[in-house]
Amino acid sequence: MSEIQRLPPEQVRVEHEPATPRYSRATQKIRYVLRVGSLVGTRMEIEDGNPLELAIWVPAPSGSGCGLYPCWRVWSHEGQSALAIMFTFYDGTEKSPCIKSTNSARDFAKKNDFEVTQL
Amino acid sequence: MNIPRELIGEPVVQTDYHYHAAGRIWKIPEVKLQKYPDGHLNIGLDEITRINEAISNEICGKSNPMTGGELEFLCDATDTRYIEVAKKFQVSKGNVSHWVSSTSPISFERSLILKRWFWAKMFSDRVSNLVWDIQKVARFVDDDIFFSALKSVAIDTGVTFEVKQAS
Repeated sequence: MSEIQRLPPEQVRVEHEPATPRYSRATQKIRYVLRVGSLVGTRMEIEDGNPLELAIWVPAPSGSGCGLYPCWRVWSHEGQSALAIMFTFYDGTEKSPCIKSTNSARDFAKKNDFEVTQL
Repeated sequence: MNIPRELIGEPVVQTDYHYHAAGRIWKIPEVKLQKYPDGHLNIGLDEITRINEAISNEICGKSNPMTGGELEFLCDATDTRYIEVAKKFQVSKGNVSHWVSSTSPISFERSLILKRWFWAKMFSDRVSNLVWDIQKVARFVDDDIFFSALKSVAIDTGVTFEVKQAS
């Protein structure tokens, strides 16, 4: 996450979707995600030009209930992160998965073919 | 760092863009997106910030008591933790969570304090001279006039732009 935090704002992006409330929550929560999020998994196709994908866990701001589960694609250029796009945002609304703990986030990431980070 | 063209994309401007925030839909006059070769569109944090500032100005500049959705939005837009709000009012973080999730508006008195606080967090350093003039007369004017004046200052000085709720 620190790599993404260091990028200039125009290189931190959210994949555009039809203007649904959950998509707007993804844009609304992006600063909170960047500040509080922790890495739970990584995924990468072994081909040049493909981005690294990160699964992130973010506890609910209120401290209980569904947390946030955003996933990012991060492209590198000359050995440095150059572009990060949030392409998934689950928060329990609009029938998206409700993930309440770091361990649940790790399990969810594993089921979705992410290599889970060690505790 | 010179970023390759394929990582920048092509700019796309959408007008009268409908944007959900703080429990309702806003009409944004112009939104800048980027289009990538695979056809995907995306929006940058710089543009998100620009839109969220305009909505924040509108929320703080209106006379109605603040809703929980608006409080959550303003916390997110200004990167303010619930515990900071709790300290401001000398209540627990749980109280603030309750305000955010409640369907009832926040009390009028608290709304006034919150609007002034969040507006200042977002804009006062960029329009400080004008704000001092408004503050001098604040105690002599109606709250609605005061907050409307704050809203106008941010728009008239070009710090942000006007948004309206979509009908």
